[in-house]
Amino acid sequence: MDPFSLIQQWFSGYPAGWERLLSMIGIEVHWFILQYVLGLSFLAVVAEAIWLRTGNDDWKRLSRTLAKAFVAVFAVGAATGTASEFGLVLLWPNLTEAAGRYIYFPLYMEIFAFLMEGIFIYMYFYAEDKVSPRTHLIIGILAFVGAWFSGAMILSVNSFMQAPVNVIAHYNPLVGPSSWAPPDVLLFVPAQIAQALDVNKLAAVGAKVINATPEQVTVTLPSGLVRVLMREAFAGKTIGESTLAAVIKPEALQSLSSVPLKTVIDAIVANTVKNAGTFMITFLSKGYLATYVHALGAALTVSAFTLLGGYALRLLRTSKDDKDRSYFLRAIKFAAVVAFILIAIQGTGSGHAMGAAVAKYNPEKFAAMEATTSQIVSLPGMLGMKQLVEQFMPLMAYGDPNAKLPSYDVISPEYRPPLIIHYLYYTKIGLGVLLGLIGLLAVFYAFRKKEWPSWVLWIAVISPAIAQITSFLGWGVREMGRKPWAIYGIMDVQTELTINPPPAWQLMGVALYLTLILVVLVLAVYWFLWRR
Amino acid sequence: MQAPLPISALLSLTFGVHIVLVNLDMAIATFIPLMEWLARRRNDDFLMERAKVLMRYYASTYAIAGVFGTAFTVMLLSFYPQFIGLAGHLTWVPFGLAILMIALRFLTIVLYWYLWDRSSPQTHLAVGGLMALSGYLIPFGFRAVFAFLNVPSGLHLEPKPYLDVVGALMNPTFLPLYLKSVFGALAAGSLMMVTVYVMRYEVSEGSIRERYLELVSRFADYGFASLALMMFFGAWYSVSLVTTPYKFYNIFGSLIGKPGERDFGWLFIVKMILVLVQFIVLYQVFRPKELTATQISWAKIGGPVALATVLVGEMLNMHSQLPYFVAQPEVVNSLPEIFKQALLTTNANTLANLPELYTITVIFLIPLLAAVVALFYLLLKDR
Repeated sequence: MDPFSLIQQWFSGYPAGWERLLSMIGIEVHWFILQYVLGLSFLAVVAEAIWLRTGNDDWKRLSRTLAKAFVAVFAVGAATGTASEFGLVLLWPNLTEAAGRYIYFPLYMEIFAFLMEGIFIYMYFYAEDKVSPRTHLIIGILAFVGAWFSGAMILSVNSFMQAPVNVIAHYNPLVGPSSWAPPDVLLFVPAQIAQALDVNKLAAVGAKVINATPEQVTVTLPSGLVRVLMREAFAGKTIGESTLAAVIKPEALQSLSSVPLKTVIDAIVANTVKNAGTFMITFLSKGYLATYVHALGAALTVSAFTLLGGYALRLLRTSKDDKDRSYFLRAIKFAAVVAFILIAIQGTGSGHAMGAAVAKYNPEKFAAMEATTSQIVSLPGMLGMKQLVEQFMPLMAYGDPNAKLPSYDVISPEYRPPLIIHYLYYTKIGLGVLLGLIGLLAVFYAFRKKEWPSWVLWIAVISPAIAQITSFLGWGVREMGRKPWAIYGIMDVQTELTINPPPAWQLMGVALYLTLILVVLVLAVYWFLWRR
Repeated sequence: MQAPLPISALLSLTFGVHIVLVNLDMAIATFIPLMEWLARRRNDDFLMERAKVLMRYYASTYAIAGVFGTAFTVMLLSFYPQFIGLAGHLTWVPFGLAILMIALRFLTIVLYWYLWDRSSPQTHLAVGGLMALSGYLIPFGFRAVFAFLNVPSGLHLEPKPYLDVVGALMNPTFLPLYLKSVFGALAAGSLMMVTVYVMRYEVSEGSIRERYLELVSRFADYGFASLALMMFFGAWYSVSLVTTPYKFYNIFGSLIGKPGERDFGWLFIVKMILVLVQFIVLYQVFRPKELTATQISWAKIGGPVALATVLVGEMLNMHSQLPYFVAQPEVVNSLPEIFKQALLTTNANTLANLPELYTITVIFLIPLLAAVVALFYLLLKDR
């Protein structure tokens, strides 16, 4: 496959290419900004805590600068969050409806997190001279805890969409590619509905009864069937018009024929949610903890590298006898140390946990990430490292050198994610390693008693862009790799889409508009912080 | 047939706080660039300082209004997911416009605040103008949706449900609702300014005191004009509601001897009394040479009363059409079952309508509302 075909596979190989593109841009604009709210708020509080401990005013100055930056971006971050929220409602209303109905709890809790974040971020900035230093520090802690709380809620919903607690992926790494099968969905069917179903016909379509009580019957259904039923339910079909009719007892079908399918599906899914725990279901998503730590780590890393780049620029633009130079040197040293620690944790800790979770719970995505196919030449292959990676990856992913990776070619076409994510993934890994080297270089010069060479400072200046691209690619792999699903194993892209898709020019107009807002914001913050 | 009480209370609370704050914000965002422009033209440091102080307050509170707006939307999604799903399928243009303007508004607020004295006056005023303008375009989209909920103009069900945007804008209730809202916001903002500057007037002396009196007088003029226009457009809106008899009779039925299914005539009378109080306040502070203690007392209640008027008006508009999201029962009842269920507030999400959720809400919301009060206190302290 050539690069154009790869893009085409992602764009046209699944429904709603333009809508997905706008969502990607809109959410990335939001995430671009949000990372600073998550990261700079924390770094500002750390700097302030050091100031309280040491009494050195450079730390207070650094804390103030960071506060100015995250307050400035918070507002636009909130606006782009609102835009993303409405964007999801308008482009993917069926997904939004399903989220509101079944997994609303973290979204609901996010109200309080957002409120907490908003109140204490502004209080931190505006009330500095009206409260004691210790109270101010506590306000700062509440501000970043609010932002982190918010992230924890939203990421639990995203984790649920990636790997819901009741979806069972089928791949045994010790057996190898032949063990792959489409995922199954575990459902708790209320007895009243179960009585109307024909067990033999259900078994014929791949359903398995796990358990039965007077109140409910626990079954697994093939995700292919669940996907069709969800699509028919949201399309407004009645039971008589739906695929479900084929597995209903003839005597029951007569009375149920005109009942909306959505009513029955809703009763089954709602009962399943109750069994998992209405308030807990998203937090039980497989890989949630790794997702949260990795995403939060990405935000902190981007913030730290941005700090590094910002102060590198200041050093490049000031003369050696500038009175502020010692402050800039202290700030860049802080940034270098934090950036290096964070990128190291991201690469070796949370990143690894994230990868292992994908391998275990999303084998189709993992196969695409590793390009275990004859359709494309993998990046390690191009670099002559194919054999090395093939030996190394099973150990990394499954903790067993004898394990085998899933084969992309064995996976049925309707379950395959786009192969472009392989290149995005390995580019991300490469950029992550590069960031690690930049962090190491910065730490080396930060602790040397001599001046920073200008070439090192210039590398530091471009590091925020590299960090942002790395973070973006990480989300790209995660979200593009979720295709063909909107919610893995349950709802596909076609089902989530609005029945009135807007024309492509409107979608692109909105995307350009949001991008322009981001560019203006970046320029304004730069102007505000660094121009005297 | 009623919506569950806790849901109704939570939606009213979040929407109420949001709508009061955005009305105030809309007016303030108009006044600030106007004050800056006048200050620059007259080389008036006092007025420039007032604009800056106002902007400082505004820059720190407008996001709170946004947060409550988000809270309202998410609660609506949690309690009425089918309604939000249906709205999503139909409202790309009106909501889309509102979204674009929200993004522009937040950006211009940030730019206007941070670029003050860091950019040329022309650039800064242009950003201020955009900031004010975006404030009028956000409700243009939202009010189009509200009007749709009065009368579903432009809705077609065949071959699939879709919204004809031109038809939707031709909605008889849209224009009066939008204009009434705009002038209502300007009236409320002006009255609030009267209250704030009267309080400053009271504690000032000499020429500064005179300047505050001048501001009180000027904002009273704006307030009077806006309130009069709001009354005009309000009357137009009331007349336009005859196109949605269920809502019309719920509001005015008991006053004209034809009570509707639910009586909200009393709330309409409360609103009219509040409007009357505003006129009295404005009469009291109309171009004064000095203000007496009585006049000051009247002026001090002007702002809160104006904001209460906004709140009461919105609650009246919202609750008088319940339990229908679209205020035309005959239309709702004629729809396929799947749409009908989405348009009834009695059909709340059974997974969310839980006592445990309300307990969690109270535990989180009360301290956070206290923190909002603390934020406002800290902002206004020593100013």
